[in-house]
Amino acid sequence: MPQSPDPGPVFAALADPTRREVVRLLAARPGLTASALAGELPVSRQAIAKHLAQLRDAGLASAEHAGRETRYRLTPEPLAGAMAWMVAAGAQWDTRLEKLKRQL
Amino acid sequence: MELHEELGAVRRETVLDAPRDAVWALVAEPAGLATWLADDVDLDAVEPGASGTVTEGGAPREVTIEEVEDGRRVALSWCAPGGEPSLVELTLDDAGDRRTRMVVVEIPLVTLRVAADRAVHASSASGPQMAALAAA
Repeated sequence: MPQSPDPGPVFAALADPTRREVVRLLAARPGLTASALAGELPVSRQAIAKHLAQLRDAGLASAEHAGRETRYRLTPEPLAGAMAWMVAAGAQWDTRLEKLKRQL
Repeated sequence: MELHEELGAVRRETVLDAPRDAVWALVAEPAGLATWLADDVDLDAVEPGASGTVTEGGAPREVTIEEVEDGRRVALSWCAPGGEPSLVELTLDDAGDRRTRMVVVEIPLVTLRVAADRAVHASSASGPQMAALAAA
């Protein structure tokens, strides 16, 4: 599996609770439109469009044009890089804390 | 908002079998940190603004001490070459029976920046200290 070179954009995309909700909705119901998402969340359609653009920039969502509609899908592959960062950082802390315990 | 609730944050909590001043000596002095944080710690002092290098497994990271709350907390930022810059917070609390609870939180700076922006937009009266740091 190719490793995402920089998990930063994914962390930035998912640091916002509204974008996390958009991700959750797209995971459950692939193909939602921006208007449908705005109907589910307490934010404007314009705000949803902005959040969708940020998710697309981070590689977490894709858009498909179907007639006059644009439908969005989750593309979760970049999450692997962010998860790998968390797993590696956590493992390093486990090792460091074991070393610290041996000093006391 | 608790920082460890942020997505992307790594959190560890452990109870150490030593009083807080003994643990603090290993956290607040470069020589103390060198015994456990990394293979090599090149830092003049654990004071806000001090910067240097910590090397782990042959990989150097640039490190800056951001905040120190005497006897209780050290916050530092660091970044490995080509890695993800992050903020680390080490917090000590008395756990009774001369033991010490240590909480470690490591969070990517980019995650903190988004949280800080959101706090500003929400006109939050008391944004998290670490978020303010990340925005600095």
